[in-house]
Amino acid sequence: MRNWPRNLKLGVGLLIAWILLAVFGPMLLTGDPTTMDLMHSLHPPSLAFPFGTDNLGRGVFTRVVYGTRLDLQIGLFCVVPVFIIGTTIGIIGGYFGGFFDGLSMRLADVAVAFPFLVAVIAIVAVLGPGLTNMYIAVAVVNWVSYARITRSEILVVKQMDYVQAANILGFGNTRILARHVLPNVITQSLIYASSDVILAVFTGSSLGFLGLGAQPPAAEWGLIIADGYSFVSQAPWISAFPGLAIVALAVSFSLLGDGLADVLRPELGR
Amino acid sequence: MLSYILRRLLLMIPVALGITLAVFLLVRLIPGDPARAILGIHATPDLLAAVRARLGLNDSIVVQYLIYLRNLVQGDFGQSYYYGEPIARLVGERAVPTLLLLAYSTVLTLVLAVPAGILAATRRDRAADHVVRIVSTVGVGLPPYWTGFILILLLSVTFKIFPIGGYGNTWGQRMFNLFLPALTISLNVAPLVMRALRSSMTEALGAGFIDTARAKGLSGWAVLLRHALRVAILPAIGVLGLNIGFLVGSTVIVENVFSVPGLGQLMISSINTRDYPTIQMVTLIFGVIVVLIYLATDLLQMLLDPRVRKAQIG
Repeated sequence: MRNWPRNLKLGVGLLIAWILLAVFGPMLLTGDPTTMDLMHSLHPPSLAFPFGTDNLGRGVFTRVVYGTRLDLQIGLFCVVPVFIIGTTIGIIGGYFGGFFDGLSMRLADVAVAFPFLVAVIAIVAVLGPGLTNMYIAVAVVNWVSYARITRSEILVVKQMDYVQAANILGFGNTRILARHVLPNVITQSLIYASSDVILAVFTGSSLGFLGLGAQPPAAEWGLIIADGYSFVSQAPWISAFPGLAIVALAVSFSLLGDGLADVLRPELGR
Repeated sequence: MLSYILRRLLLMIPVALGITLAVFLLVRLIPGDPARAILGIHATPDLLAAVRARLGLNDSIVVQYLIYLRNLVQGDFGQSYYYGEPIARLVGERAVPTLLLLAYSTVLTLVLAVPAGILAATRRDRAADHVVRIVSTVGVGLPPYWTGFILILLLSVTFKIFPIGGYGNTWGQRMFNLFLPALTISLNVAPLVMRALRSSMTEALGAGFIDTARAKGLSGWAVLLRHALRVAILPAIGVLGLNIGFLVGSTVIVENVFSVPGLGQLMISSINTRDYPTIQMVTLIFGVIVVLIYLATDLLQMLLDPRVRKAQIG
């Protein structure tokens, strides 16, 4: 750990801080993120309400802290399933080739022809708004990145002497793939996943903003920003603070991704 | 060169078919009866039957797809349930602001990224480089619906320079009104292009032909712009091309933030009115736009880079 590059240390530290905030933050707060209190609507930031209050008198600080939970969950649920599905498809397709490979790559060509956000919105439009349908939509579209990354890695690794040697030794395909191939092809996907979390949170909060993701009165950052748009001149704090949270989260994960790239892919250099 | 373009166009056919198939199947994803989903729970049986017939739901799915393709080719995109006018006209009107916004944000992206990239590469590891890199790290993390808010807050509400949204009637007005939306998108994309340019520019500046150009006695600017940038801009254009999907996706949000009457706004309002044929068509158009831009990027790179040109033809 001492040899870790600075950006990785910082990235990991910030990630831990975010997780702690998501898990314990809400416990330390006395307020509730959804209870209305019309006596205190549109209060500017003060000691009692560090980020001010919204039109319904809810503390923006409380809502942003609770939002950490929801938005990190969005990041997790958008990335982990597609990571597993995409990597598996990429490994099987890349290693065995043939019909499955051809089919999955043609599907991939079609999936990337649509702008990511447009594809997700279109699928959510027919399935209905809400987070679960958004996770499904993201999975339908985003497995492609992981499958393509893993596949291109595996085409190289497949030709390596150690894989050939394992083949000659008569090891089963499962053993070769799990023990020899997987560890060597997974790094690129991992690096990509850390930046993909940002894209996931962007997507989740964009859909929340457009009214297609998390539904009111949920405390989700994109939703809070959307709430504040009607009060841009009266109460800019409503939208300003959750946005800062998103920017901070994005910077944390991009430090993490850069750091991981430096450690796992030293040959890329800087 | 012509044969390469032809081959590249032929390769687009399966993708184009795939896009139409995906968009066709999209509406079949509607849980339950699509006709009921469109008309709502109070629809009469007669009306349901009419919509089923209009959607061709009584035929087999293969026949339905072929009919859908035939209609597309004939330019019959169907009728919008909500607006009650042909979708072709609706989409055609809305495509203009979106394409203008796309072009505008691409230009702004280059205007921001190219000087910053050159600055960072020539002042590598000095203060200017660090500033550019920090600003770009933050820039990538700016969600468009929030950047839009901050820009509105600063430049529309506080300083009252730009309008809060809208499109305008003359081209001048449009260029003025679309400045903030385009800036919002490019603040997000420019950092990526800048990073690519910084690294390719650094590499180019270390190459032998730069020493040669300097030895010939060319001025610093001439070396930088006519020799180094000419090589270094290619990977940056590639990165811009790769992120075009992201850029197009951002227009959906930005149009809704700034009330630009484009395809993205049409898409969201059609979702709210359950106007599925319109959603279907807008999705298709977005797919077509992206595929065409990929094609244009490829051809542009080929035009600019003799090495690619040779590799493709030879």
